Amino acid sequence: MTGHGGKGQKVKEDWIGKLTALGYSVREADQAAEKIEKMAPQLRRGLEQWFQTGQLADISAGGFTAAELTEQRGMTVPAAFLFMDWYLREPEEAGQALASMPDQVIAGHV
Amino acid sequence: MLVITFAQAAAEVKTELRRRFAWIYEKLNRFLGMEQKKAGTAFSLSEAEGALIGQSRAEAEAFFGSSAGEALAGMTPERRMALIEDFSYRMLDLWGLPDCDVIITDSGEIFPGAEAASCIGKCGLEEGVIYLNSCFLQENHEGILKKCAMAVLHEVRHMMQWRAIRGQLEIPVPAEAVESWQRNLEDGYIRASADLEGYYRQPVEYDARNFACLILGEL
Repeated sequence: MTGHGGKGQKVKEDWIGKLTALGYSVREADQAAEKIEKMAPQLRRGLEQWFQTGQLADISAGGFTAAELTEQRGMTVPAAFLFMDWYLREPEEAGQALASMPDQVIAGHV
Repeated sequence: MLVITFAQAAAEVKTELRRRFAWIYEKLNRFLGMEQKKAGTAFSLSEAEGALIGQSRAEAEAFFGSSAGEALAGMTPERRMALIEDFSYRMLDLWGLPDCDVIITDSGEIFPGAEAASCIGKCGLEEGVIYLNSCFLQENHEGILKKCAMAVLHEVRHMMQWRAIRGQLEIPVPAEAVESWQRNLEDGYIRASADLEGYYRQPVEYDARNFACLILGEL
């Protein structure tokens, strides 16, 4: 039991480390890491490949590709894969969120 | 090698089964009326806020007529920026934030890189400044222009949330809402560029969307 939980925890910590290195806050990284663990396998493989090689796999979900989401929507690469996974789970809500044109709250000074 | 491949395949099957069971469980709960509230889905207003919502709607109608998108699309970009600026200051006054500023800009410092085309506004909480992306106001598209007007209200609401957390908002706001905003803004705001689902579902964003929609949703 402990071994299995420990392995899962280690995997999550690895993801958190990779995401914080990309500029994610601890909270963002923690939440994203949990979702990455449950991500559709083909998407998770694509994300792992990008972390290992820097190459974006030619994967799309709902007509969206990671390249398009990063270049046109300002998402990080992990965010693009997280979005595609969300779109596979809940296409209507994910589509609405993408169309909503996001904003940003800044706690400090710009 | 074969063992590793088999283990990988088994892990993938397990992940896929878990996803499908979660999906069936959610659908079944919805069917049985037992849907659990997702984080951030509580939206409540005080009586004072309710009264101001009505006043804001009337003001918005005075600014934009019966359709914000149509009204803005019928103007030159300069005129619409001036109108959006006036509307922003009117809303800030009405909601008890007269000391805040509005800056309509396409500055690369405020909206760097892909944000120029993907981020409609920003709210500088500490400095009390709302930034609106002027690139969107250049578009002659009713839908986009309506979103610009909605963004004004969305950012005004973020400013209210921050002032309420700091105890600097005179308009009474439900205590449970302030608590959830505080947890969200002080313990970890999630940026859309980092995780759109996390961004969309967090309490402050859910609240700001509903606030803007209550005032301008039908215009």
